[in-house]
Amino acid sequence: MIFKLILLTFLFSLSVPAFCAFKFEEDHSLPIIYLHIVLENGAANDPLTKLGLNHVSTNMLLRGTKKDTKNQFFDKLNDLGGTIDVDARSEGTIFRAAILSENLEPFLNLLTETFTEPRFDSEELGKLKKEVESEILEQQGNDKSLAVNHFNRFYYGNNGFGNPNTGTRGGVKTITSNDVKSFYSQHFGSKSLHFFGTGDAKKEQLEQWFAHLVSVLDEKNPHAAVYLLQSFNNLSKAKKALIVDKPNATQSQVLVGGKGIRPDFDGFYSVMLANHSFGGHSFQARLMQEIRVKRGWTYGASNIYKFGKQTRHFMMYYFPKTSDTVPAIKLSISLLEDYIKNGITRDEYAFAKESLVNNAPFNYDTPKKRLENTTAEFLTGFPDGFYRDFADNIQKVQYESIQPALQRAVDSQALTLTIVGDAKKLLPDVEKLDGFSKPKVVSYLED
Amino acid sequence: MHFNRSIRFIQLLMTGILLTSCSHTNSIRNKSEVDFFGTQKVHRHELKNGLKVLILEDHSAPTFSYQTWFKVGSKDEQKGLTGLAHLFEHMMFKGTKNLKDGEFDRLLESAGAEGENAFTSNDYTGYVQSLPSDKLELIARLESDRMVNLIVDKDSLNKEREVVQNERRFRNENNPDGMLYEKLYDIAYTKHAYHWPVIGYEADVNGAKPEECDQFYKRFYAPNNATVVIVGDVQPDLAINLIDAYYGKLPSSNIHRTQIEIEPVQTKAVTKIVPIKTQIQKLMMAYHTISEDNDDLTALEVLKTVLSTGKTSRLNKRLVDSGIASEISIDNEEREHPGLFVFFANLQKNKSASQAAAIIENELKQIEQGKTTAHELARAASLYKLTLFDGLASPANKAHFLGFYETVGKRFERGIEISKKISKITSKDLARVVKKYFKKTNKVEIIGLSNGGASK
Repeated sequence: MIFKLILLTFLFSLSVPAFCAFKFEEDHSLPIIYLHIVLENGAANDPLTKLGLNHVSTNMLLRGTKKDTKNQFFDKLNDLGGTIDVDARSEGTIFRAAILSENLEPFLNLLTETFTEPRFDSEELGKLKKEVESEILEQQGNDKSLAVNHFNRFYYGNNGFGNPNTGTRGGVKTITSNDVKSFYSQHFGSKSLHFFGTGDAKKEQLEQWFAHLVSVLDEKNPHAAVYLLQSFNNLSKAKKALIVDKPNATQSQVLVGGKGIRPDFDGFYSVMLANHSFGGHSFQARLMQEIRVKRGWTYGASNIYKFGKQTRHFMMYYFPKTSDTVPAIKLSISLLEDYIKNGITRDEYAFAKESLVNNAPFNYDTPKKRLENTTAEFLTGFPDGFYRDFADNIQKVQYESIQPALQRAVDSQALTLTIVGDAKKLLPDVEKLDGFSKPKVVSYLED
Repeated sequence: MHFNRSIRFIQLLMTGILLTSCSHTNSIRNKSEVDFFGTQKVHRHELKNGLKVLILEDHSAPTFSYQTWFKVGSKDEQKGLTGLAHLFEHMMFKGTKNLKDGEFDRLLESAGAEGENAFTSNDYTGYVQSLPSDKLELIARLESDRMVNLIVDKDSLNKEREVVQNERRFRNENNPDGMLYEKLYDIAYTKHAYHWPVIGYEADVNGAKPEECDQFYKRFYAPNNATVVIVGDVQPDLAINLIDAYYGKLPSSNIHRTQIEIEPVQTKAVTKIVPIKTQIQKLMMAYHTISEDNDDLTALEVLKTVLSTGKTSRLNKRLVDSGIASEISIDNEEREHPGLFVFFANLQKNKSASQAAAIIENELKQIEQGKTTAHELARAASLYKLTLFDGLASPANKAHFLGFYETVGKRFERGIEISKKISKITSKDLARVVKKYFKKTNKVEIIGLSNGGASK
């Protein structure tokens, strides 16, 4: 018996390869464990003729194993009190799993089968494609989601970052079983899979399991690798406008944005602090004060930075009724121009710094939030501890650094405007917007 | 000038604290310690003015969640004045006799508040925020102030009603799911106040007068209609002293609740078509059920799990796996007055809502015949447990659990009781509740169709 145990320990005493990220935080306060298995590939890598390949292929891993059909697999999973879902994003894909700690071991065995012995049943692929196609059609009813997807495609053009995470109906239709199998062998190996987790378990147990998983995958898919994204420099340097026409809509979803920044930008934290005053999650922010509080034109108004391994974008967002849409756009652009030209006031600076620094404990106050942050840091290529150290870095920002940083960071002459709304009512005034090219109009029903 | 006024207010309050701290126990009527999940204990207090206070220690991070739940929602409104509870939720962030407009948010934001927000439902209104642990005094001061000192002026009301109209356009008017929900309650309730949308009708929101808002405030915003919940890095004794100091002297109110009409028993099934702007159909199918305090709630919760939780739940197999729907979910409403059990399905392209409705009815028939297996029941218990623990993963979530059941279920222990009973539910219990509530005559069906076209 003892010999058997020693042998087992020896056999399974694998270590996670150095190029795999692995982090697990033990937390025994509740009998539950959260796991993120992260694939370093996302929708941005989808070929233009097969938009949705990453989303469909990763979801196919949850459609049964060699041993179990999809229904048998989920029967076993749900019997254990476990869940697993796929969150396919632009630059990475997260398999999010949760399990009651009393059932961890059988759950890990099931996960091993999921990743190493996928069934890739062609009938299941057909079902999944129809589900995805219907989900894309359903999104036509969600105006915010429509606006974000169209903004991305309009801003990035044919670059992968414009690809919708779930794909397009046309792209999904073309995906075959061979595409999925080929995707699996190209991507699922130790070089592209990473592990983050938290919960009521021993770190060593998870480490051993993950090391075992990637070693099996490396034998199976020896050529699996990370495929880097093409860089992009050909973004529009002018103002351009798009209206996604939704006849008779009584409200518009408006996104106005341009080139963003990354932490390696000199003055990154100065811009982050200033953005809290301009359009951060604050009722005191200028966009919120001017568009919502003073005029009642929108329920929400913000300026959001989208981060990634490459420099992405910022976008102002609000949703006024149709007749307030163009006045709100004019106001937001004039606020942006003033913000770039004059920066923020000393009072705004002091308030933003105090708010962000005092709010810092909430960046990592629960194990689940720390897990999300660790995963986000990894997927965006941000430095380890970015969220933990955020307040310290904000604390160091000098007032004088803000305005020069804003002038280098934001170009108000290269803006992309996307509106989802009633084109017939909006077009005459949108056409008159200062400096914008003639608006392009597409139907909300377009793929 | 406003700033000076607020400084004076703080000084006055600080003096007040010193006076009341010495005599805090005078305003506490009841206190007890009640088991929560695991080894955790909830400290329950009731002040003499009727304010209920629940405190749960959790020192895992230097933060705490602070929530104030008022037992007032859209069901407490009257015809012609719908949307008042929600409009008022917005107004609660305006000025008070002691703080100028906007100062409430400003003070909390600079203190590092997280998730500062509010919500209104048919039965309750909640105000929530989380803060670093050294800010308990600040939030107790601000929340106790706006509980009784709010100023409702015409200008701020006019601006806020515009914001609310934009929220209504966003959530209901331009949102297919929101439109379907509005129609569902419009039809399911003909007499009861659950008939109108929480956000109110456009004309009512536009017509609300400052004096009507003020009356609503004086009637429902009082300590004897509220529960304060604190979860996080606090010392219970110090916390209750602070609460006592700030809230103990607030006057209770004589709360007159309008008699809410009882909904007559529905005698025939109703189906309505709603035009929506998507190329797929949507189905919302509901049955009248029970109020939160009814013992059948647990069986209905298990029924919901058996039918729709997990990829191999009955309806996921019959609807999604079979290619009819892309999504199926169920809402088993927990309300003060009898609520609905709502099936919601997004259909796949070229599939019809009526096809999905027939499949749901067939599954209900199977369950009525006692065909739920022991395996399904055991799985439902495991999945319920996972959802429960996942839902308690932060101080804010725990506070929400406590606030919700203390307000709607009268005591938070109700939520714990339900979780303990889940594993005791049998197939006979499910058969009984299906037979009792899922009658054809008790059904309301709302179908969302592109441009209102005919359903197959």
